[in-house]
Amino acid sequence: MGCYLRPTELSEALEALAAPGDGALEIIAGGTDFYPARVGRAPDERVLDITALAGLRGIREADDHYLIGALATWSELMRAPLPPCFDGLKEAAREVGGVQIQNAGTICGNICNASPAADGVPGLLTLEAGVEIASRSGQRTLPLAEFILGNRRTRLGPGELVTGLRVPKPAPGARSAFLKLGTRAYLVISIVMVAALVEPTHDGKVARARLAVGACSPVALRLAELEAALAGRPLDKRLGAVVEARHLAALAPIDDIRGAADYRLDAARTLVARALSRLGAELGERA
Amino acid sequence: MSEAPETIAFTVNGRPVRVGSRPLARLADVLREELGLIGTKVGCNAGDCGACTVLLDGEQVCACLVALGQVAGRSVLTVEGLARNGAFSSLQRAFHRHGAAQCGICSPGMLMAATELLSRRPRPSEKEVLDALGGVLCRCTGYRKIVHAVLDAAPGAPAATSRPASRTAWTILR
Repeated sequence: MGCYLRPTELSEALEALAAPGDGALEIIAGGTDFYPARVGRAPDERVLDITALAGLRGIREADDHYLIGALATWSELMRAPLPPCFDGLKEAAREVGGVQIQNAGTICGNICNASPAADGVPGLLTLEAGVEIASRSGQRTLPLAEFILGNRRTRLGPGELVTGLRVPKPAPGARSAFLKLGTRAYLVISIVMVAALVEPTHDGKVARARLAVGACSPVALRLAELEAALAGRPLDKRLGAVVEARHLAALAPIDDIRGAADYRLDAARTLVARALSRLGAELGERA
Repeated sequence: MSEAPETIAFTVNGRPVRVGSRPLARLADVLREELGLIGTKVGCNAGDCGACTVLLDGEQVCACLVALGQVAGRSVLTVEGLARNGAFSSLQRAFHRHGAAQCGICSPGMLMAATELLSRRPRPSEKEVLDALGGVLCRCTGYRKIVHAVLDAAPGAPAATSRPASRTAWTILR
């Protein structure tokens, strides 16, 4: 038999999660993954609705990091005054579903659902985000790359609730990009997505590059070999030429209704090169 | 702990309503089946088509994805709320003028998405219209007349016609 809890204090939510009684509690925020998974049936689970937890709202700046609250929506992220290193994540927000989804869906819900095509994951990986997790017994922070284990599986344990995403401030001048390939401009699940973030040196070269590709493996992956190859390269529109097929070897795309595996690899390589060339040109103009 | 109350009260189209508490009921179903407001259509129940778009506190959402328990104390605007005293809104008149509906199943969703846009951008660009309406699918019209109607909806806006639109604006729909 289902029940529905909508606490107003985080402590109440954590108490309910710690002692769920007749079974595990399903967490709901924007509902943009909850309801699509239940088409054709009335939800009868035991549900914890976290949307009344005011402390989880908002996007805040601290000394050395930003905190994206668990209830921050894609639309709120787009409107938030954030430095250019967040431009890629804002572009991802702009391309999730349509405006209706962006107004309701949360970034933290996106990573907890952990679809291989989760739009927020590549950008958050390049931002080296940490997942803040609370339970009745305390708090912990996990790097996002460790939090997501695979297709719709995360390290969130019984009694735990994601309270936010912590993004360390990158070096000044860092810029980011995000490219999504789909069959339409809106309301589309990615065939391939790419997030890139580049930190420049003072003399127009790559100090650090971070690249992540999504929808081509059970969880989005950083391209470590390519990142290493980019260090020290000049920042200009030819930066994408550094990309070779072997840099994408860690990806394991599948054949599905949206695309064949070899198409995904080819498209991923094109998008990675395109993102890098765009950032190279943008940063090169400022050198 | 805030337990679910026995009824949930909110406003719809400016009028207070109170429905029996089924907190996980989809707002789209509550509007249609309990309140008789069948202008809001259900296409997919999965947030993939936008036919059920309503405004919740002025922002467009898919009513099929909104839990009734989250609506308490808030205001909902549906397509039935656009006309005032029997008179169509300027947006509805523009839809009529441009022939922006064929089967009409997407029209409520399109009208609600456009209403939100026009409430904050009375004279949007074509790109802004496409972005605002991108979450509502139409299988009949090819979108052109809908977009022209929205561009022509503001009182005093330059009249849009059905000649081919700019190449760049339409490329992104392919």
